Amino acid sequence: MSNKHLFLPSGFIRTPLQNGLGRYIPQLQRITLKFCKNHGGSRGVRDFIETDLMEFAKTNPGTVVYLKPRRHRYPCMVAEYLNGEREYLSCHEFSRAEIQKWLSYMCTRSGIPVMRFRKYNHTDYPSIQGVWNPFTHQAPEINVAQFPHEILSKPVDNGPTATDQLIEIFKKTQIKDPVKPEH
Amino acid sequence: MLRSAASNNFEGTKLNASQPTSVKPQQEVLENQQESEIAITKETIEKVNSQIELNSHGRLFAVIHLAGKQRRVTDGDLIMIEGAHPADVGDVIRAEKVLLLGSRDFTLIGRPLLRPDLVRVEVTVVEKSLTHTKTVFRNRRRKNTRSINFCRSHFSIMRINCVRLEGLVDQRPEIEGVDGRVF
Repeated sequence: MSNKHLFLPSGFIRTPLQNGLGRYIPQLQRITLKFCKNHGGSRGVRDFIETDLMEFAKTNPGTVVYLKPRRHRYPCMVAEYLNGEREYLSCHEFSRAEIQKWLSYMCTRSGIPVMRFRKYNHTDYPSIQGVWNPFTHQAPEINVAQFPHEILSKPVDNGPTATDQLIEIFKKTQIKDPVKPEH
Repeated sequence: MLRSAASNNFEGTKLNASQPTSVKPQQEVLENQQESEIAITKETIEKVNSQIELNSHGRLFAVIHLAGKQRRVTDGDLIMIEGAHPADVGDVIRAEKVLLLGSRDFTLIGRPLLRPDLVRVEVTVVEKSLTHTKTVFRNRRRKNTRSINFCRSHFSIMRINCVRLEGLVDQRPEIEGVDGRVF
């Protein structure tokens, strides 16, 4: 069993440069597709380049696409992000659909390295109505009360005890029978 | 308003009223406080509406139901959504299921939802990516069965753009819930 994830960096969700406030800016700066013109391992990449690459470049005007043919080596893609991060992915024997999928993954990422998230939300304003404490919504007379106090020093839940309730039930059973008329 | 404690009592119903018993009927008179309650309600609603009109309520927070979970959000928050989500990166979504809206001085609670023309919560999809590689290891002891799988699941990060009040409390339009709908 792999324990690799135990040593993963962990952190909190964030976006580079407050992305999404105002407008969203795609974070993928440039992507390089490296492939071989002859080998079968690059076939999916070549298919992608022939059919889908122009469409991809048109729909992502903020991204620069580089193609780098190199002889007799495995294909790969390298994505570089606006925050300076760089991600490498080997595309050996990927199909055309797989290339599309991983390219869209690279496009929609923010470039922050993969990590384990400790929380699934982030807020700069953790409380707006004030943090609750035991004295929230209590009557202000508690501020000037002198202790020991007749009421305030007692436990809050001072309802009838189990003994009291038993006595009460017992008393209820002690109703005298109605007077029977004599014959 | 009269409410008799003895009439609710099981023993009281069992005994005939003409027969003398040791239990005296307990009665208490409750005052009709409906008018004063209505006055308090009106005053409160006026105060809330004046804050909304003057835009003096300050920062608002909302509890929205998004992707199967209830989340407390304010302006500028980041929330993470687990699993694949149809919205693409850069899309602006309106969260229509608003369960609660709170400010410094007042809270509007939906029953179960607040009116869509009263509150507006907008969300931008900032990132769509995959989580770190999680190891799914299953082992049955003494049965020679074990399996190890590696899994990366989808997630998206969303930015809360606005939590806004767009109408007055207790002033309902004649036709509601149809704006922005295509029939």
